[in-house]
Amino acid sequence: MNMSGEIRVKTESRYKTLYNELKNFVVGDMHELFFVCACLGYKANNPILLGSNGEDRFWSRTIRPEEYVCYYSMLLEKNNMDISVIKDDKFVLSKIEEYANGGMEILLKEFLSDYLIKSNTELKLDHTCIKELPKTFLHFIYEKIQ
Amino acid sequence: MILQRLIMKNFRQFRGVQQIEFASEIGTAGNVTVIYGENGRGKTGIFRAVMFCLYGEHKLSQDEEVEREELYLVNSAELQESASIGKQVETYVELLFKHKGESYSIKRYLLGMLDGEKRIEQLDKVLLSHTKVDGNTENFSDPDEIRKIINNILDKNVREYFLFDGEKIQRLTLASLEQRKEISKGIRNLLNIDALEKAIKATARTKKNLSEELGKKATGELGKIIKQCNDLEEKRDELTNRIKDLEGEYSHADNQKKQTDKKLDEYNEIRHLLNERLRLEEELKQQEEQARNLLSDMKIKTAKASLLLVSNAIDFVYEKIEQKKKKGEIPSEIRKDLIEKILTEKRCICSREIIPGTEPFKEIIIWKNKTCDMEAESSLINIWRDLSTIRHHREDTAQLVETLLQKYALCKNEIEKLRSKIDGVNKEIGSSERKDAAELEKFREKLEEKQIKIGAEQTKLMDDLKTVGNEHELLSAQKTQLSKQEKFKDELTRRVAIAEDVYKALGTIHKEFTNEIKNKIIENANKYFKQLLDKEGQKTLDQILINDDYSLQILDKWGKPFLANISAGQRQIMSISFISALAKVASADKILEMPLFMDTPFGRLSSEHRGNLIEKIPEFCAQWILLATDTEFRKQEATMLMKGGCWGKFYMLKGKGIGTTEIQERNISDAQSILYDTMEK
Amino acid sequence: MPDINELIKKKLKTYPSEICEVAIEAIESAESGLPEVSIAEHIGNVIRRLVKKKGDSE
Repeated sequence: MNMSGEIRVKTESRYKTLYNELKNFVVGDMHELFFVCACLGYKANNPILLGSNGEDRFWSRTIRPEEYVCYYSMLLEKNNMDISVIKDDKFVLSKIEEYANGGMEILLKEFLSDYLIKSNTELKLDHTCIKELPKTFLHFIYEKIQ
Repeated sequence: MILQRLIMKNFRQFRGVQQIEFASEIGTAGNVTVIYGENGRGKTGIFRAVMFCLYGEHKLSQDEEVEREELYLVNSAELQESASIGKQVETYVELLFKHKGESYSIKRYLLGMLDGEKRIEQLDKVLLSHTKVDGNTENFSDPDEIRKIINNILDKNVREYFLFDGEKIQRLTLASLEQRKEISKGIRNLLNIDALEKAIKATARTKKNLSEELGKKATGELGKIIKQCNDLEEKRDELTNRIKDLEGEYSHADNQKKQTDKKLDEYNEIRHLLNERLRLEEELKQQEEQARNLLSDMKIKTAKASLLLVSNAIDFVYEKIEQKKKKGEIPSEIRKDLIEKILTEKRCICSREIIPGTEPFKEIIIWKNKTCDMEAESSLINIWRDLSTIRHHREDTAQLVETLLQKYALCKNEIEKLRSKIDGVNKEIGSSERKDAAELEKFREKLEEKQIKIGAEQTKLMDDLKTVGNEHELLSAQKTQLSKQEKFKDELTRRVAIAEDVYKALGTIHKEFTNEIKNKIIENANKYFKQLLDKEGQKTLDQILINDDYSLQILDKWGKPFLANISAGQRQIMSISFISALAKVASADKILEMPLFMDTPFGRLSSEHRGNLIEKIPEFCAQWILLATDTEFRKQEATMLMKGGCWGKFYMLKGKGIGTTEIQERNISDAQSILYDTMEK
Repeated sequence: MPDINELIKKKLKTYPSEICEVAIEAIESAESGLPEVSIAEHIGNVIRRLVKKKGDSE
């Protein structure tokens, strides 16, 4: 619960390009995209284990305090306020990684697939149709909130 | 020269063989021919035919800026039809006229054909037949001989003064470089002093050469002064040439302005559309900029918006901590580490022994369970604080997202509307190959700036020229004095002196003649002016003057310059008077034995002025050919003309298919039924 | 139009004979269509001849 900045946060390796591209188009930075995915995954109660597919994505020092607070709240809520679950930030982030993974899957299934170039090897944005992506992305989030 | 008949075959709009017989009898039979037609029917073409026939000239003075190849003389319809069957078109103009009691007939041919898309017009033969007073006829076919004969009758330099058109009248009306050029050109043409001017230039050259030679040979003070004189002459020539160049540049800029104005006129009808398009494009740009900014905002706000997805977790944890706070569980009254110490030591802070399993021990366990350790307690409080802030701003965040999305939707809507409007305007504007009117306006502005600069340079150079002229005069006088003093018997000095005297003499004669002609023109111009001017004008205006710089001026009854205050109609009368005077002096006869063509002269004239013109012009000249449009020659004018008894012939030019006009002769008595009234058109 | 050159020549006769002679030569050369440079050369010769003649007679 110290909001540690020394932790390497992971995402699935197949999302590497997508994370790099999306962070330029729909959010300000990697940690923000991670946060959005985590919130989506938490709301849908859809944590997905990273397992061996995990790959370092960014340093936890970039995570904003209000994001960290949300992560703590998510785990506290899921564990009936057992404060011990949020003692270790590494543990906290490992759990949030699962929510983020699940959230990305929701994003891909319900929204992003129309904006991707279909490929067997990696997921990439189709740059011919992403001019209004920030708006459609926000709209998608907004719909989820309603 | 009195015109009798004009016969045209396939010339300009006049397809086939068509003719006009001119009224040519002074007195009851009439000397006025009215050729009446709408714009573009070929009125000026009649004059063009006469000039072509007499001189083989394609161009009139109004065609200065037009390329020779762009002026077509062969009838286009006939050309197209003949081309389809592989034939050439025969075109000719024949003119029958009388001069000094003798008859002439001149016929000039032209061949026309189409070579693919290219139009070829070629001058062919010219024939002149001259029947003298004694009845003998001589025929000529040599173009050079024919040219000499015609020039003797009516010199080509003055022929332009027998067509008065709106442009010429306009040029004379406005005080401008154009006006001065027109007047000085008119006078020069009348004087026909090409030979004199050439002689003056040649003498100047001789003078210069001799002076330079003398400058090399002369010594002392005289040598110095001769050299200075030569230098000043060179400087004077340089300045004169530069002033002439600047006049040319100014004139060129003027022509470019006219061409630009012509192009801009084409845009007048669509100018408001072009402005509208510019405005819409500007607005579109702004809306697109706004849309881009909104998308950037959305990028920034997306993560914050996502917070709202975990609202229930936020609220849950907040409430729980809030409860703990309310219960006093955090911050706890007794710290956890203290309780652990008591349990470990099995001794209370009051030193009482605590035995495990007893009631007090169980109570202490319960307390311990309720309390958090310090670190955790602090974290919870921080979490609570942060969650408090998040909850506080949550409403705003939701509102902000909604607003952003709405604004963007409106912006996009507006963008679509603007694009649609621009498309509509573009369709109305039509061809996208047209140059933007704004660019033309800018170009025009630049031309005006250039003209202002030229004007400023000209003024400065004129001053410099004056200064140089004065200096030269002084030095020349000193030179003459010194030469006399030194009693220079040198041959060279005498030769220089003679050359200078000859140059002065020719210059003086040139000036004298110019002034003589100028005075003759003024005299005649004022005579006509007084006859043509309306009653109101007669009260105020006194006389026309030609200034030294060849600009026109009108003096009022008190001898003060009044040109700036006269009406447009009075200006026109002034121009007509001036041109009539030029024509009169050119003929040098008691009566102007030249046909006067007037192309739509009534434009800005009041009824009284029109009446005066109609009454007096037939008296000024032997033959008046009036080319008039339907809007200016109406029943009223016809009545005035009939009353004067000078109206001899009446022709109408009628359109007959594309680019073709038919000449229809009408009885003068039919004029009232044919012509329009003031109110009708 | 009356012959302007005749009028000019008439006026020139009121000037001293040397001036008159050279000026009329200049005008007649111009009337004949000679170029300016040639006219200048011609009257230069006329002037030289006149001055020499006068010098010899003095």
